[in-house]
Amino acid sequence: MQRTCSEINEKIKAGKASVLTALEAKSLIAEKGFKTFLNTVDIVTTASFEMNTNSVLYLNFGQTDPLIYFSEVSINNVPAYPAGPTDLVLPCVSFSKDDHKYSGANVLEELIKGNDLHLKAIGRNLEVFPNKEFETWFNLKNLNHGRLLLNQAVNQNNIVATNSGDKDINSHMGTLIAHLENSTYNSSSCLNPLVNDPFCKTIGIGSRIWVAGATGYIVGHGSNHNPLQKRNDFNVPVGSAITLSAIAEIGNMNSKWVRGGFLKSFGPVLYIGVGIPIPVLNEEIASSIAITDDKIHSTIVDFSIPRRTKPTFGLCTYSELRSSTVLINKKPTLSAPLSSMAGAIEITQLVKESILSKNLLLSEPISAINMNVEVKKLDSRLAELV
Amino acid sequence: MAAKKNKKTEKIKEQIEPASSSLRTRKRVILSFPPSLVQTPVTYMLAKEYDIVSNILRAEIAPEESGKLVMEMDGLPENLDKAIERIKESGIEITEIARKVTFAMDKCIHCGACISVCLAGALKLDKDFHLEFIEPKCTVCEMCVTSCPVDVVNIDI
Ligand code: SF4
Ligand code: SF4
Repeated sequence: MQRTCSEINEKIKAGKASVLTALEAKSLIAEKGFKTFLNTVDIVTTASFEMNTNSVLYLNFGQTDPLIYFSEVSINNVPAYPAGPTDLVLPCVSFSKDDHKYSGANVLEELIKGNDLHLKAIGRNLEVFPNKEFETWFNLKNLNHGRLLLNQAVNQNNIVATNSGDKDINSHMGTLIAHLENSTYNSSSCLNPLVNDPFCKTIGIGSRIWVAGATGYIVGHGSNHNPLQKRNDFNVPVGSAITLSAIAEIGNMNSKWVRGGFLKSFGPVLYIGVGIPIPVLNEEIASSIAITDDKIHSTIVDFSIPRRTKPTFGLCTYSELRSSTVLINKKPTLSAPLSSMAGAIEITQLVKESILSKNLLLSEPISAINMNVEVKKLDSRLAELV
Repeated sequence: MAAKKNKKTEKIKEQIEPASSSLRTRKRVILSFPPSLVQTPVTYMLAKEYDIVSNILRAEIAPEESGKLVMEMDGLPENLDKAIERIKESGIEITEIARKVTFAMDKCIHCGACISVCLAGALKLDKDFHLEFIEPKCTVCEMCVTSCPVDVVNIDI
C-alpha cells in the first residue's frame, strides 16, 4: 500500500479522506489488526500540549507621529527588545519588572484574548526618528502583525526527573521531593508527532501544522536538537532528541491553547498546543504509528547534582510512568506528568476536524530535517583560537 | 545523649510515615487562655513533644488577664491532632480555623504538575487524563498551591 500527499489531499477535498487521531489509530490496530489500519487509514493526527521556554514573539507596530525608533520598550512592564524602528522581539521568558510571575508568555496569552496592553517606549531620538518617548494602550487589532517562533515546538522525548538528595529541588521539571519521593515526566508519548514519525519521514521543513488553532509551518530543527540520541529497540530515543522549530501568526490562535505559566523557583513557561497530521504513506510509516506507551522508554535522571552530566537510574516505559508509580533504585516512586495528555488528546481531535472540514491540507516537506547534527557543549575558553 | 535521642525519634517518625518532611501539614487555630493559664508555654511544648513548628499570627495576651492567640501549627497530621487534644485537656480553649484547597477547574490545563507533589494521594488523573481531586485524602499541606504553573489552586480559609 502506497499513498502520496497529493493523493490524500485530493481525498480530503472530495470529503473522502479517512482520518483518525493517534489514540483511535492505536485502538484500531489493537482491535482490527495492522493490515486493516494500513489499508483503510490516510492520516493520523498527533499532538502535544507542553511547556516551552524557547519561544519568541515578533511584533511589528505601525509608526508614531513624529516617527520613533524603539530603544527601550516594555509591554505591560515586561521588557521587549527592539528589532527595527517599530519592531519588537519579546521572549516568552522575559518577565515584568514588578511581578516576576508575569512574563512574555502572559503577554502573548492576553494579546490572543484580544485584551488591551500597555506599551511604553523610549525612542533613540535620531534626526528622522525624533520621538523620544511614547506610551499607549494597544491590542492585537492595532498590530501590523504578530508572529510566534517556537524554537522547540516539538520535542521527540524527554527525560524523567527525580531527586535522590536530602533537599527538595525546584526545577524546570517541577518540584522534586528529596529521597526519590517523586518523579516527573514531560511528554505526550504515544501521541507525540515525533514518536509516531521517529525519523521525520513525513515531517520536514515547510510542513503545514496546527499551532494553537492557527496554521503554522515547520522551519527546521529546533533548540537542543539531538537526532543522534540513543534509540530503543522500537526506534524511539530514550531522552531529548529531535526537536522542531515552527512559526505561526498569532492572529488566528485560540487562547485556550496558549497559556502563560510560572514554575516555582524556575521562572516563566509557555504552555502551547501543537498538532501535526501524519500521512500514512506506506507500511514503514504505518508500523511506526502502531507504537504504544509500553514501547516508549525514557531515562530517569537524578537532579540532585546540578551539573551538565547527571547520574541516571536506567530506563522506564511510559506505561509504567502513567501508572503513577515507577520503581527507581528499587523504591516505588510517585510519577506524574507535566505535559497535558488531556490537552493533547483534544488537539488530535481538533486537527482531525480541521482536516475533515477541508481547512487543513497536507503539505509535502520542501526539504528534510537535518538528522546528522551533534549537540554542542559550551565550555569556557581563556583566549581566542588563532 | 542528645544525638541518641534524636536518632530514636527519627526512627519512630520513619515508622509512622517514611516521607515525614513532605507529609507535614498545617492547621490554623485560635487559642483562648483563661487568666490562670496565660503563662503556659504552649509553643515550647508543641515543638518539644510533638515536633510542631508554631507560627504566631496574632496575639493578645496581657499577664494576669485572659488572652487570645491565633497561630499556625506545622507538623505531622497525627501529631497535630494529639497536640490539639492535649491543649484542650489543659483547659485552654482551642478552635480550628478550617482551611482547604480549591481548584479553579475552568482554568486547569490538566498538566499534572500538582499531582507530583501530592504525596497524600489526593490528586490523580482520571481515565480521560483529567485532574481529579479526592478531597477526603487532602491533608492541606499546600504543596500543590505553588506547584501549579497556571495558578489554578487556591487556599480557602
Ligand atoms: S491536594 Fe494539595 S494540599 Fe491536599 S494533600 Fe495534595 S498537595 Fe497537599
Ligand atoms: S498543576 Fe494546575 S493546571 Fe496542572 S493539573 Fe494541577 S491544577 Fe491543573
